[in-house]
Amino acid sequence: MAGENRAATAIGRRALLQASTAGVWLAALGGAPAWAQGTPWADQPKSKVDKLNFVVWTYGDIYTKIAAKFKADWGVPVDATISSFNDHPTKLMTMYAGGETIDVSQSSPFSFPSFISQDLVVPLDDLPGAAQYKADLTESAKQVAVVDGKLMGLPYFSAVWVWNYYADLLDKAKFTPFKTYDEFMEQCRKAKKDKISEYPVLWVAGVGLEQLPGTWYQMTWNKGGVFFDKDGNHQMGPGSIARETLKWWVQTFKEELSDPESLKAQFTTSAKSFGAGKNLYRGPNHHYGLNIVNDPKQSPIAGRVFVHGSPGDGRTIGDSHVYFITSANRDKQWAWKLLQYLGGKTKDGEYTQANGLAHDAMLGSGYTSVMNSKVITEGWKPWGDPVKILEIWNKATYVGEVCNSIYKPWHFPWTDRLNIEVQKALTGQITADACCDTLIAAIKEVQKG
Amino acid sequence: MASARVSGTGYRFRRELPPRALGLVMNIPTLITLTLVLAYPIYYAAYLSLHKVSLAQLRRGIFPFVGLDNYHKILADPLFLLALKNTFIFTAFSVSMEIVLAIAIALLIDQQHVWTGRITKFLILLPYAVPPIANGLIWSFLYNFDFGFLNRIGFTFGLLSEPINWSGNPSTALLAVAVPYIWRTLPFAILLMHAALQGINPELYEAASVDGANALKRFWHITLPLLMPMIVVTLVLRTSFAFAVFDEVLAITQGGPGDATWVAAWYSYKKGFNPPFDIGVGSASAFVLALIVGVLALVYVKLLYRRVE
Amino acid sequence: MRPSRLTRMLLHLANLVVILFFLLPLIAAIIGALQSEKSLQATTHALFPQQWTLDNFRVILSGGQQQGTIFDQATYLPDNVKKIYYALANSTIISVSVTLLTTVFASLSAFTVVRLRLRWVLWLMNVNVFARFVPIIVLMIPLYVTFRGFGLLNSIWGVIIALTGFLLPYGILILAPYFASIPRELDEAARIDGCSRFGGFLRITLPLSTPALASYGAIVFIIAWNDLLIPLILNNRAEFMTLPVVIASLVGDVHVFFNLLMAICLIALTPSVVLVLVLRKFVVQGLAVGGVKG
Repeated sequence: MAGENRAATAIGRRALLQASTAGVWLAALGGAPAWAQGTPWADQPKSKVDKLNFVVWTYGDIYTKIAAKFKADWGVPVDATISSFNDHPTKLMTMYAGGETIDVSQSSPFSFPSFISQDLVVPLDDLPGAAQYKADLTESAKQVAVVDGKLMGLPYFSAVWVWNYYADLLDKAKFTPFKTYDEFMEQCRKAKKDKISEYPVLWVAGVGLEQLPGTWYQMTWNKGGVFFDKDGNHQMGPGSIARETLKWWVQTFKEELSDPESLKAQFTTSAKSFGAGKNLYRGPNHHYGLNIVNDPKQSPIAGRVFVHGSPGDGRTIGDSHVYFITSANRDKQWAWKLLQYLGGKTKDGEYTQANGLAHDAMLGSGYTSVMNSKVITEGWKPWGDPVKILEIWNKATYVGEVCNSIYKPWHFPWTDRLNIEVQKALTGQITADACCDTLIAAIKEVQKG
Repeated sequence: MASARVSGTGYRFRRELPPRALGLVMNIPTLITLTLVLAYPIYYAAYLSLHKVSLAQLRRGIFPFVGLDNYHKILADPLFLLALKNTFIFTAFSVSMEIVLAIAIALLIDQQHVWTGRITKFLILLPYAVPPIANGLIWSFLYNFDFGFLNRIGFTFGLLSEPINWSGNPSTALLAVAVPYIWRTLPFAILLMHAALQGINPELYEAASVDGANALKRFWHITLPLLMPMIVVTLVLRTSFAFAVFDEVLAITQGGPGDATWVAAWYSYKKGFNPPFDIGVGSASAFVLALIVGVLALVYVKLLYRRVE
Repeated sequence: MRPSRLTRMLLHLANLVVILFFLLPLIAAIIGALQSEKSLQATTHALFPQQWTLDNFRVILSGGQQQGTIFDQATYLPDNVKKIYYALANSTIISVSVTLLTTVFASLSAFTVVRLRLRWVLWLMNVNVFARFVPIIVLMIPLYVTFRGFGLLNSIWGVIIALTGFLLPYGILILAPYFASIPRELDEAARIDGCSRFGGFLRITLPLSTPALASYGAIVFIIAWNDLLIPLILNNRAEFMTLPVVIASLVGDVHVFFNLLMAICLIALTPSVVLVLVLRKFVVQGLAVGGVKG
């Protein structure tokens, strides 16, 4: 298999995710004969279905393409229900409650445990080829897809949190990208004073891990803090790093260094706002925002935005999203087939979707063999420096280490609340202390359900 | 009203249903639809609000009875109380603004000798036809900090040197939702006021003019008192509708920033239709809203009867 | 008595302000819809774009097939937008059906209210006054659960039934007073000529009430066209979405920028705005009556 060979050779060149290296070696060496034995992705299920469907959130036209490919390969038409990212959980659960058939769906890491606790997700271990997929998962993907030792989903994409800077404004101010948070503040203040940028930094708004809450997680982790310890005790009390980080963050709003759009523009929109070229920095978030802001067709400042690692030892966070088979599926074998088209291999044995996402949309993969392939190092080039991003990638820890409530069903409502309270703190309605106290109190509430 | 019961005209037709039967038959479609879509759901909302209903229960079809738990939950939820408070503020502001503007514009288009008034009159209905959700999105474009139209107007005419964050400031966010809402619902209020103005006898004004009353005095002593009944009706109607504001909130702020624009309908929607899908709590909160509006409806009915008398 | 020149100028000015206030959102939406994302980003101060384009409309109305020259976001066109013609068709079918059904049902009921005057029918009338106040959000959850039981989720019918029920009380409230204003003698005369009560309803009351029916019909059409919550909650498949639902689905969609949004909003509001301006007189009458008489 091409993928397997590539994985084996690439591993020798560069260990990507340190934590997963051992697993990958095992997979690459010990798994090879198993892979060669059969090609489960190419076998036709014995049962018959007249159609299949999936419920996903929108991303370009990847779902139209993959549905067409599935039909071409297997002769089974695929119905797609596609909503926006924010509406997806609602849509999925409404359909599920409505008694509809849903073969395959998709989840963010922060909503997945909630879906599992609602009996929405089917374990995959007994399905043909599942073990091979499991062995090829990166550590980040494994943290989401494997729950209590069982494989519950296949990876959609992985990402790491990076800072962005707009080189032209930095040049104009004669700055080099900041090395410490203090330097960051100084630069912002100076840029504001010198009228180089009215609002030097833009953050990403919106509920959900990869948006406003994720920024707080990332900066807290980078400064050496966590939100919950291993035993699940919160670490947001007075003097905690999380709390101090929030205070620092509030300060950037108080001094009007933060763009007000920071509380409105979500991931993609904020990349577009950054494209207006008015800010020096864009706060830490998923690395692939570059594919918007550095796309000459979309952005007036294309090519002038660069990624920047975090201060100190540069540690950052990463995460992975998954596809899964729902318990409301019409046929488990066929649903598995479809699931593989989204989160695994197509009939030809290629990670078609993962490869496509890498070179069309700059997304990382939850498969080690894809991450180690040219798809990444060449595919990302149009928008950013793959080497630089992969360097940051190596310093990334799965977000669950920072906020292990992510593995709990109550994290979902809690993060909703967190988004509201943090917004209130950043807009000066409440203090950072009050925000943290409310969030601590809210933990008990959401645990009750 | 009660005096005229079944008409006793006494004509007989071989193939005609008696009035009672005819009344029943002609009302069958209405009865069925109202039962299915209004009566039963209202009863059922009350039922759901007393039970634990979430995704898993829906799927299984068993709803455990929990008494008043859901009501306890919402009344102990600061977010619900805040949503109610925001709803009151929103309603008070938008309805009072609307009535003032409606009277002013109704008087304006009543000046038939001013030709521009005819354009105004023609355009008055326009906002009424705009889908609320589209209205909300268009305004969120107007408000946008970086790309928005209001800031562009400000810059173009030299009114602004810095962009304004129209809808992102927590202290003014409710106002930012209220303005589009007023824009959309103003036509209705203007029409009611205009209709009432038409009913005022012009001789009253002439008599007042002869007595030397100026325009302001005429408005204060003649127009306003005579408009009063209509103002009260409009007030009650608009209040009860403003209480359920939803579309503009969804389009412009989604409750934010923070919880600054959480209103009652938004609370019910978020609780009932967003994970973790607490339909029992959503129903309880919606039912509280229904009770408040029900009281308003009672007031409305009382007012109408007084007018009739 | 003609007002002074100054007064007239002030009145013109006031009219101008009101006109601008009413038109402002539409002008903004049109300007936004007629440019590309990039030109909106390129300058954040100018009112007008450097380059005008119809590409936003082109890409929506072609279901994403035609991307246009400067429309470069076509790969991010959401599925719901690609099915815009479904949405247009659904909105039309739903609005027309709801208009017809409510007009028929409401006339039948209103007739019994004013001509038969049965005690329970009068009571029903009072119920309707109350029913008109029920906020739609209160009905949403139970409607969702009950319609789920009937298999009416994800169907055009579910939305039609729900909207019909919701708008019916309003219709009875508008039509009853109008029917009452038709001289009773006309009915009686018809009965002497051998016409049944129902025949009188068909041959006398309805034809004489066309203005009221038109008023009510126009209003119902607009409310049904504009309604968001009912189809939003009952239908979640692109094939069954109405225009407002498609628009609402874009609110959380971070991939869609203002230009495309404005174009979709304009597409959605054009039919109802045109209808209202054409049927202005009727709508005015209907709204005034519905607001006042109970």
